[in-house]
Amino acid sequence: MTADRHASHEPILERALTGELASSDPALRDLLATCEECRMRYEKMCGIAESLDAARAEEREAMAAVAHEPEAPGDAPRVDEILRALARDAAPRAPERASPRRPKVAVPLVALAIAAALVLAVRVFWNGGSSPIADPGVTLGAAIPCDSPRGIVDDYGTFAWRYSLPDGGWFEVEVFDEAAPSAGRVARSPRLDSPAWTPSEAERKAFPRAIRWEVVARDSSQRVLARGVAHASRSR
Amino acid sequence: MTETPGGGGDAHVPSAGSSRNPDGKLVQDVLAGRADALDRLMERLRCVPRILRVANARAGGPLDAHEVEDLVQDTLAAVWRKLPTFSGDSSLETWVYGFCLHELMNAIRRHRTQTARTGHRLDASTPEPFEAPRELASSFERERLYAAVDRLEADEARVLRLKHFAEMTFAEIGERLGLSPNTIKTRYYRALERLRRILGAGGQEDER
Repeated sequence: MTADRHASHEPILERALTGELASSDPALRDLLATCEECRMRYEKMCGIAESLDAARAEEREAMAAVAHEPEAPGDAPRVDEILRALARDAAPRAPERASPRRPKVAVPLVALAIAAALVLAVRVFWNGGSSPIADPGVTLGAAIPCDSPRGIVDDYGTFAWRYSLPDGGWFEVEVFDEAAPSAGRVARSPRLDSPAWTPSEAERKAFPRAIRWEVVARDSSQRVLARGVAHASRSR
Repeated sequence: MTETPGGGGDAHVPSAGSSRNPDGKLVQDVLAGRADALDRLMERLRCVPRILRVANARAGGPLDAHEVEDLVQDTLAAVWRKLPTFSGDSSLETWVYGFCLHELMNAIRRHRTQTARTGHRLDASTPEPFEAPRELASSFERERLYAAVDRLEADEARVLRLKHFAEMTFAEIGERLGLSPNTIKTRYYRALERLRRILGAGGQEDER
């Protein structure tokens, strides 16, 4: 089958999948009977549309069940506490919009911002390429100084930081891909009772070239005591 | 995250400023830093622990209560980070449901990997490693579908969500987005075709 001929099938498939053609329409039936590839694509796409409808139905059922699920005594205070901390430490950023008129005070503010950025850049350089300030993302509680890995390293090796845990407290480390901040974490440590974690060799090999890692300290009742963030990248 | 759901994730058109529905307005107010809006948002997001418990139960209960509770903070942090991407096309709770499902399924994966590594069952009630009950397999399948939708172009994903999750007609979607129904149909078809490639290639889009 030539590409041109196959391309001529697309409008029929589109009309069928958007409900303009009935499944019994002769044009669709002829196409599905004569073009195996289009038949397979059509069936697969119909299946996906059905799965999306099923997902919606499942979502509705789940939300109905949620409406009947009793709220546990600790739910509300916990949610409130977490959200207050998030709001205090890291406001979500609204999409930027162009302002038609800028106030006159904007010029000195821009100059101040540039000066602040220069100071920050010097501090970052001085600290081996890793940010000395808290990550602009989510930071709850106090900051934990993160010692290694930071900046450019041969291998990520052991993750180390400084913080004294209370009795029953524990740490947890999460590793993210610096190049894909929205892709979710790439690794997570087990619960740790000392300020160090050595991922397995297989785990380290699977880490991306540049990472952001976060350590969180919790007390025995799961409350966040402090967080630390650092950035590192492999030299090879 | 792949951040989500029938209503969430990166593929959302960044339009938290949308105030077509009250939830869009609420999020807009939170982003503007209004304290009373934050209080209302807290009240609405108190459903997160309940959604996580229900989703875990529907997946066959692979996590214990403590592990589920542990997910509340991660889920809220993810929701908070993605708040500016809330399009207002769905209710806040529906949008948040996807985040809950994503965090839960990630936690279940980690749990199963750890169980497999230790090579023994933690107790009699812990399922065997990689034994996937039907409910759990179904939840994984659902999350895979959501993740695939999140990989679509934002405009395609939005059309798909409005069609299947908000159950709107092509004409209604066109009206909502200010486009002709034919343009919407073409976007919808492209979205299905891309989903087919993504799902057929194990999450990586196949160019065939």
